[in-house]
Amino acid sequence: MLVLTRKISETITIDDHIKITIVQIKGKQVRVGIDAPKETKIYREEVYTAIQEENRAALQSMSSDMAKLKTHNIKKTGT
Amino acid sequence: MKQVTTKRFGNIDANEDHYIRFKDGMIGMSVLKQYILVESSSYPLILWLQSCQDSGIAFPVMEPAFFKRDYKIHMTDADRACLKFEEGDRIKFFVVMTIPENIEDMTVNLKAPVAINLDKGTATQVVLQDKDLLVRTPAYVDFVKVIAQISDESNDFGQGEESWSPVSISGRETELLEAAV
Repeated sequence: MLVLTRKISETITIDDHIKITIVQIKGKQVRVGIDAPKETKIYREEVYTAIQEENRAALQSMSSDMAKLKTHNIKKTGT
Repeated sequence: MKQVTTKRFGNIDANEDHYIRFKDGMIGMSVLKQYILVESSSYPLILWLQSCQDSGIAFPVMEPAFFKRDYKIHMTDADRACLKFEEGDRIKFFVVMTIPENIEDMTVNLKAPVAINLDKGTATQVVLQDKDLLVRTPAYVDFVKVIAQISDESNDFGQGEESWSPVSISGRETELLEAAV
């Protein structure tokens, strides 16, 4: 990983179109401003990871469970 | 007409009208860009977002209205670009289900719905900023409620031979248009 030291309001440029600016430093928190082409998707890493993991979990929805779902539905219909 | 091979549903005949193209795939699966939506005669509520490239990849999805009435979906410019969105395009949203061994533990991902542009056949998984929306929202209670409603309307639900068919995208109506812009 490339590590750069920056002061408040200083910027890092990535390629031609992405600029990352240090906006504010407050205790252990840093506010970062990002300028990027509008089609660039930007996420907080923990949110991205949580969704990635949940997508994987969704794929594990098994057909045996589906069969259970079906019998459960029929039971509900009967009541 | 092309055949999509699936582990879950066997071979499914699909044509251009059925294809859904993700510019970046589902989150964490950027390689898989082409999907079809599959519906079953036995489970009218759940659709399956089936990969055309990997037979084992199928996401169960449902309409968000079953789980959240005031669901506000705010798409970014990046989302609209992925959908090749133009004024007047109809966007349909789905939420991804996770159905574990114990179905009472089923959850729905309200944080990252799938948006499909019905007019372009394009799709993207949208990430919503709202902190109250959970990746794992308990869904079983609402699911059973909807099942009970449907059961009242249709007596043959869940009966007969099970069959799977692809959903035609361009023909689908949407009632969530106002959420698109």
